[in-house]
Amino acid sequence: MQVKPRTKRRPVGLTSLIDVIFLLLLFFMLASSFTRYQSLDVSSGGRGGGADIKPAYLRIHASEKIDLNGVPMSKAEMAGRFATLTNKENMVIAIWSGPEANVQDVVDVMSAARQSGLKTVLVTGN
Amino acid sequence: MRMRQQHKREPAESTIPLINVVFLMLIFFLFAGSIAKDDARQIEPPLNILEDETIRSTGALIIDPEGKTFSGKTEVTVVDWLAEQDAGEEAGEPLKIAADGTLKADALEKVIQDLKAAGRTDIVLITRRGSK
Repeated sequence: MQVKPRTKRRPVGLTSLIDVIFLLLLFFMLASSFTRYQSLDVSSGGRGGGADIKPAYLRIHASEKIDLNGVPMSKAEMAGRFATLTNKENMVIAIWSGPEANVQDVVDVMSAARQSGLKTVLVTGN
Repeated sequence: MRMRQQHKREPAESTIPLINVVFLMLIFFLFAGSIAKDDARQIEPPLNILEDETIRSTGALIIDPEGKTFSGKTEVTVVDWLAEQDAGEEAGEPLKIAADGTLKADALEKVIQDLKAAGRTDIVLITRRGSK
């Protein structure tokens, strides 16, 4: 029996592989985004609902003009002031914003209050 | 003058290290990036110091710094957007709003009020992770 002599094959070229990988890389580099978004709940429950506790009242007049229950404070003092509120388990903070306040200020206040373990309610309209 | 002759031919540059690096970059972009449609790209959502779960901005109601509302790139009214959401796949999920950080809070509250008037109370605001 005679064995057929095998012809020597050329190795598969790497160039086409690199081509495809480069294409994939380019696609993912251009198509992907790195911004991470997260959600902040602004639903603040339904209308009415007789609460038996009095909420703390926080007003945002402007970016650095905030008062809690009528006493002015700065954004840096927020965490300390929230910590002094009594009956924290049930305490709700009602946030009212003036015409000069913007969304970033409201989010700053809401996240600081949540971080202190308080519930927040955004006062909308009348 | 006699030119010096090159005796040896330089060996061809090996492509294996190149492929290694490109592979690494490919894998990095595959895992670190997300290719979901980012509707909130045109605005800058407010920064948030809390570390909550991450969400996608796909399908959110976009409010630009002037208070105009958009769905994707087209301008819509709040009522039209709400009808679109109720008919779409994500009916029953919380409503997502992406507002620019420099927008007046009153304009955002107006939109929230409109949504509440339509009977929806599950509303979330999209924020960016990070501190100033």
